[in-house]
Amino acid sequence: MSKKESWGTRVGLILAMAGNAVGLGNFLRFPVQAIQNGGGAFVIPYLICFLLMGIPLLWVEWSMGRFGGQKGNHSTPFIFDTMDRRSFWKYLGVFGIFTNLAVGAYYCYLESWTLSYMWHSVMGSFNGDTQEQVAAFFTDYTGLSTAEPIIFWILCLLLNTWILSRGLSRGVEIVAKIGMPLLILFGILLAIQGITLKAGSQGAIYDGVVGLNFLWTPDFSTIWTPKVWLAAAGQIFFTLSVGMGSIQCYASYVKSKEDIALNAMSAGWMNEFVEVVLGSSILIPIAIGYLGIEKVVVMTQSGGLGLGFKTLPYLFQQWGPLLAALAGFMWFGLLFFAGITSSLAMGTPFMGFMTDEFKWDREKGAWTFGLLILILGLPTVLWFNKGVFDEYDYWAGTVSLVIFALCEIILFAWVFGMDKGWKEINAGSDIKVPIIYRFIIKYITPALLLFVFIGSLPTIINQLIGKSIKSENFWYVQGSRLLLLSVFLAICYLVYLAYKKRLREGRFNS
Amino acid sequence: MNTSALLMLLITEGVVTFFTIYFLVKVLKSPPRPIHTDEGQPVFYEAD
Repeated sequence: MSKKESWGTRVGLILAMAGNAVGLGNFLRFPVQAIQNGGGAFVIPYLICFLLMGIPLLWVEWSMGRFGGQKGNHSTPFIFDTMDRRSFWKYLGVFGIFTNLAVGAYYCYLESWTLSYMWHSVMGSFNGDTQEQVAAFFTDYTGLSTAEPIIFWILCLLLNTWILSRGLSRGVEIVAKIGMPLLILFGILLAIQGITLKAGSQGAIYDGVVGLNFLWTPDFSTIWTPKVWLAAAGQIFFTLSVGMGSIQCYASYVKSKEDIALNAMSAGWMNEFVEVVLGSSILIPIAIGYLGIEKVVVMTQSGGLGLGFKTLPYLFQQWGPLLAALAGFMWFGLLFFAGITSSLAMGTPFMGFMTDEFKWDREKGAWTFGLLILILGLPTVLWFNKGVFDEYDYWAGTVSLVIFALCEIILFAWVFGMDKGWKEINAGSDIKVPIIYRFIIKYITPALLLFVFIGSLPTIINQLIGKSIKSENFWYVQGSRLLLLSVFLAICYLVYLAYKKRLREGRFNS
Repeated sequence: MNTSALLMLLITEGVVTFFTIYFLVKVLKSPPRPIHTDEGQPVFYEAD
C-alpha cells in the first residue's frame, strides 16, 4: 500500500471494516455457541462482553491505527513502536502480521469451499442426493478426491490477490460496497424462508419458529457459570476480528482529523446485526425444521461447519430444484462475501509493512502475499484431515488473538496512557464517547481479556502437550507448529531489518 | 414460540437493529469534513 493510499468514502471504510469482522463464524459459530450456552440467555453475557470488551477494543484498535498511520506506519510492529520506544513492543506487534498470514492461509481455503458450493448449487450437483451423499460430497471434497478443491482454492487466491493489488479505494472498498449489501440481502431472504417454514410443507417436520424458539428460550441458570461467560467473551472476540492487527491497518489510512469513534461503533453494530439477527435466523431454524431438535443438538457438538456444508445443501433440496439452487447460491454466496471481505483485510497488514519499510509497490506486496498464503496454506489443504487445519486455527486463530489483544490494551491504556489514549479516541469524533469508557478501557477490558486468557490456559496447555492429538497425526501437527513458529520468527527478522534501516535513514521521530 | 423466547428475541434483535440503524444514519448525516490536499486546498471528504 502506498503512503498515499486512502479510503474513497466513509461508508466504504465502514463496510470494509464491518466486512473484516463479518465472517463465516457469524453464521456458523454464533448460533451453535448460543445453543450450547443457555440459548436466549447467552445474549446477556454476550452483549455485556460486547459493551465492556468488544467496543473498547474496537476504539483502541481504530485509534492506534489512525495514530500510527499519521506517522507513516500501516502495520502493528511500528504502530506499537510509535506508542512506546522500548524495543520489545515492535516484536509483539509482529502478531499483527503473523496472525493475518497464518489465519489467511487456511481461511482462503474455507472461502474457496463456499465458491465451489455456490457453483455446485447452481449446477444442481446435489439434486436427488440423500443426506449421506451430500455429507460424503464434503468428505470427498476435503479429502481431495479430485483436483477441484485445488482449482477453486487457486481461483480464490488469485481473486484475493488481484483485488488487493488494486488497493483500498479501487479494490477492497468496491468489494465491500457490493459484498456487504448482498450479504445482508441474501441473509434476510434466507432468514424469511427459514422462519416461515411450515410443518408438513416442503418436507419440513417442524415449523421454522420451533428452531427459533429453541435457540432463544433462555436458561437463566447458565448465566452464573464461568464457562458461559468464557464462551460469550470468546465469541465477541472472534466475531469482531479484534486482536488480529487488521483493524489497525485499515484505520491507519484514516486521516488524522477524521472520526474513528462513530465509524467503529457503526462497523461494530453492523457485525452484531449480521450475527445476532441474521445468523440466528438461518442455520438453526432450517436445520431443526427438517431434522428436529435432538438431532441438531447432536450435530452442533462438532460445530457449525458440518451443518453449514454437509446438511444445509441437502435440506435446500426439499424446496424443489429451482429454490434449492437459489437458496444454495444465496447461502454459500453470503458465506463467500463474509469470507472474502475478511481475507482481504488479512492481506493489508503484510502489504502495508512491506511498502512502509522496503518501498514495495502495491502489486508486488499483493502477489507476494498471495504466494505466501499459497505456500502456508498448502499443508492445510493437503493434510486437512491430519489435524493441520485445526492446529493453524487454534494457535493463529485463537491463542495469538488473545495474547495480542492483551498486549495492545496494556500498551494503549497503561503505557501510552489513558490521557493520550482518550484524546486519540475522541479526536475528530462525531459522537460523544461516554466518559465511563475511560475507566472501562483501563480496568475492565484488560480484566476481561485476562479472564479469557486464564480461562483458556487449561486448553492451551492440553493442546501444547498434545493430549488431543491422534498418534497418526503427530508429525503433521509438529510440522505445522514448526512452520508457524518459523513464520513468526521470519517476520521478527524482517522487523529487525526494518528497524536497522530506519536507524540508518534517521527515520525515527521523537 | 413461548413468551420468554419471544421476549428475548424481540428485545435483543430490536436493540441490535436499532443501534445498527442509529449509528449508520448518524454516519450518513454527519457533515463532510474538509481535508487539505498537499497544495493546502480544502477538499471535502464525503460520507458516501
